[in-house]
Amino acid sequence: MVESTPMPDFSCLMNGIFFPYFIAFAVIILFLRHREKMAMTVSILSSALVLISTLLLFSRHYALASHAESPLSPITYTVTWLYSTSVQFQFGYLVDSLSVLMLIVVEVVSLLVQLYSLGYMHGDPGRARFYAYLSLFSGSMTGLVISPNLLQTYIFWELVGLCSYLLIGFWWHKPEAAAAAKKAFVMTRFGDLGLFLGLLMLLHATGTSAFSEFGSLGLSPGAACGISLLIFCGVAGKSSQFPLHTWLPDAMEGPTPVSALIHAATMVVAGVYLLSRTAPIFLASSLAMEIVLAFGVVTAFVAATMACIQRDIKKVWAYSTISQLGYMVLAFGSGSPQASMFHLFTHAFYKALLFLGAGSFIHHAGSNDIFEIARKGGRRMTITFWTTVVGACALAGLPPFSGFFSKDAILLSLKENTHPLWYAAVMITGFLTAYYSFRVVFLLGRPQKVAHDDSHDSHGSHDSPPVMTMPLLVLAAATVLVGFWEGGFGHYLAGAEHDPIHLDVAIPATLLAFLGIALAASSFAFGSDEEGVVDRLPAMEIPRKKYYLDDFYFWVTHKVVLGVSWVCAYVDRHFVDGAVNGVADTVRWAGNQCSRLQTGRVQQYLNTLVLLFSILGFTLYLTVKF
Amino acid sequence: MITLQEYLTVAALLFSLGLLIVLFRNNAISILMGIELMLNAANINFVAFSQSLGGLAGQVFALFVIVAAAAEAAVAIAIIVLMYQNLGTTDVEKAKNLNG
Amino acid sequence: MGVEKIAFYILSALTLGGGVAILFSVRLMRSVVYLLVSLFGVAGLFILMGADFLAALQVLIYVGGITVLLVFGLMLTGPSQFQNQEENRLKAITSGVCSVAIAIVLLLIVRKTQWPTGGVAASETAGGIGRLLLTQNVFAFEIASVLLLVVLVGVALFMRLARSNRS
Repeated sequence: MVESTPMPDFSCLMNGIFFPYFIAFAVIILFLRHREKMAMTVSILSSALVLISTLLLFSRHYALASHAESPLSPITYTVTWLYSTSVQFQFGYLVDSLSVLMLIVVEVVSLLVQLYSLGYMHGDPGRARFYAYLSLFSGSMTGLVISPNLLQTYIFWELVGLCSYLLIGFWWHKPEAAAAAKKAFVMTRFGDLGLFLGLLMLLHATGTSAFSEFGSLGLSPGAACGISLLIFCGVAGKSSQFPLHTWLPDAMEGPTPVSALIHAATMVVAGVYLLSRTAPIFLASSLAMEIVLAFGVVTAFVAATMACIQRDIKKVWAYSTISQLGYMVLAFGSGSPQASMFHLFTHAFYKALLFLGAGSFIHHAGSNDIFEIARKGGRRMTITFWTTVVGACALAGLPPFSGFFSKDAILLSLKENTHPLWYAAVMITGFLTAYYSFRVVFLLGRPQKVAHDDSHDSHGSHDSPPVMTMPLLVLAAATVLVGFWEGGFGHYLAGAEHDPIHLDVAIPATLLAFLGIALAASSFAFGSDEEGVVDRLPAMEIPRKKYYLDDFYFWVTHKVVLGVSWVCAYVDRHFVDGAVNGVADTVRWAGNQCSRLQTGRVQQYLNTLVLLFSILGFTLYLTVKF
Repeated sequence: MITLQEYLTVAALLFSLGLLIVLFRNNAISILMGIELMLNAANINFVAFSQSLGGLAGQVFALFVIVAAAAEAAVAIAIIVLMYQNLGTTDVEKAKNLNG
Repeated sequence: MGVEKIAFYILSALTLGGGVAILFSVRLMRSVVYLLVSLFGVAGLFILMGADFLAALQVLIYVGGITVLLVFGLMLTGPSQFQNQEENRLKAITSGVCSVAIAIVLLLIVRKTQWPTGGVAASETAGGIGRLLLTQNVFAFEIASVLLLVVLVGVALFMRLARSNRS
């Protein structure tokens, strides 16, 4: 039935996707703050409802797309929200293959993270609040994905930023968490300013912000370049591109499920999603594409070097996320949004897997430190450890894991469309990626000298409860399987035919990956060293100092900003305040002098009064004719 | 026949005398006496005008002044007694809490 | 110089002399007596002006009421207040200058103004005043009664305060 109708009505399904999270948020915040079990049930049920709606939507839309001869045009359901003579704003839903694919990522990871949090947040006093924020985040992310115009995107863009702030600072009593939340908020705001200016410029230039009209805007290359670079500012803030990436590693202060959901799988890739949405504007300017490509490559490389030397397992995966986001951005910059989106798709699953695995280790060991986790017997957490290995394989790009396929597509696009220098840089990044991911694996998996001590006093399974390992298994399965869907993905997204694997790209990439694994193995797999060859390189001092970016920002905020503020404060205090206080002091002095007249002696008052009256009477006597 | 001006002159002198007592004396009761003298000066004026203009309006006015003076004296004496209890004196020079 | 004129001068002398005596007397109890003299003088002037009812009221209310009230007030304030303290010279000068100035102004105006004359004094004062009070001035009359009531209540309240202060 669905296939026969040319344009089936998805609006009911879209309502089922958009509203449940917000309803859940409102209900929890208003009524269930002190009933944690109820709050969690409401949140998870709404999440499940949304996931079911999404899968239904996907199956129907996919069937529609596979039967259509040409690529489907986007379907929008909107109501007019703001109206003026020159500009109209719609509010509503946009259904096309891009948004449906993104919805799947968001909703699957959301549900799994909510289930996982049942175990991870067990016993935390703020669980109801936690689930309320998670619901608000998922709802905002959904709204961002399905928004049909840039203004609605911007609204939800800010909302997810707010949720990120709330969730990073969830353990607000930790000063680091509060500082990290503030840093994330401020730095992403910095980029959002660019996005907002881009939105205004776009409205000024074309009078519309609807995505469906982006194909036929007719912008001049200069305007397109300006607008797209401003939008890229927002993308760089949200997707933590160099040099605005420094908030993401700090954001790991939040609970680990939050890191998996927001700072690996969904919110940070919103920038990449926005790139794909606004692709027509970027494609109109080759200069903008070059710049995007350059930023992507630099981010991927720089973040990979920093990931190699971290001791904190979440920081490793955080830098790795930045690096992979760089991959997506550079894929887009090389002119292949499909490759970018496919990498987003695969990365969301394996990075969520890695983060949730890290959370499982941390939950067990009570520490973020890799060596500490290894000492506490991380390798005997069978499910967690082996799913982490699966995720690491995908991250390193080993066949047949999903990362291999998406990276292959990216490298192919790079090799065909851009300068060989970029290609080489990304190849080296692939080598580093394999090194740092397997560094973690070997550090966790190698035999421990002191392992005998705690093998006696702990019995049975060391692993986390099933509610935490089950999402890991689901995500591991997805990680293994999703890669094989590349052909269908490309066809669904762009109507393009399936590219076979190109061996001239795949073989060197895979060899480099194995080389990286070998380096990691030789450094860490057998001994008990804490430092490998790479750590001892003098050049690694630069990544260890985070490329001096934090120092630079610190210098800017503390020296430049505070210096200017000091001058302003000095002028204010000594000149402006001086004038104001001078007036006030004069008035006070005059008042004091006048108050001396107020002796409190009534007879003096009356005396004065009588004297004045007699003078008045005398003048009357002299002037008035009787 | 006594002219109006003669009555008014007596009243003016009596008023100035009362005012002098009010301004000069420290004791609150003395001041009250001065005020009574000033009111009486006003009354003389009223009655004198009533006589020279004819009619009784001035006398009625004087009557109301006497009533008001009686009321005022009662309240004033009460205030003076309270003041004496609070400050231990009826000297108005010492009651100057409202000085600046 | 007729009898009327002699009476006027004697009564004026009583009135003003009583005032001067109040000004210079040191003992307060005596100055109350001088006030009595002065008020009697005023009552005499009233009779001279044909206001016999008002003269009676003056004697009743002032002599019988207010002076007695003043004596009570004196008694309630205690012996230390019976005598006037030494006044300072500056205050004497300033108050004297002010009073003399206002007296001069008043006398100048009294002298210079052309006062209207020729009215016919009413023959029956008590009845006329009574009629006026209950017809033309009935509102003021009622207001005066309210004023007296308020004063009664107010003074009673003051005295309660005074008693609670003492205890």
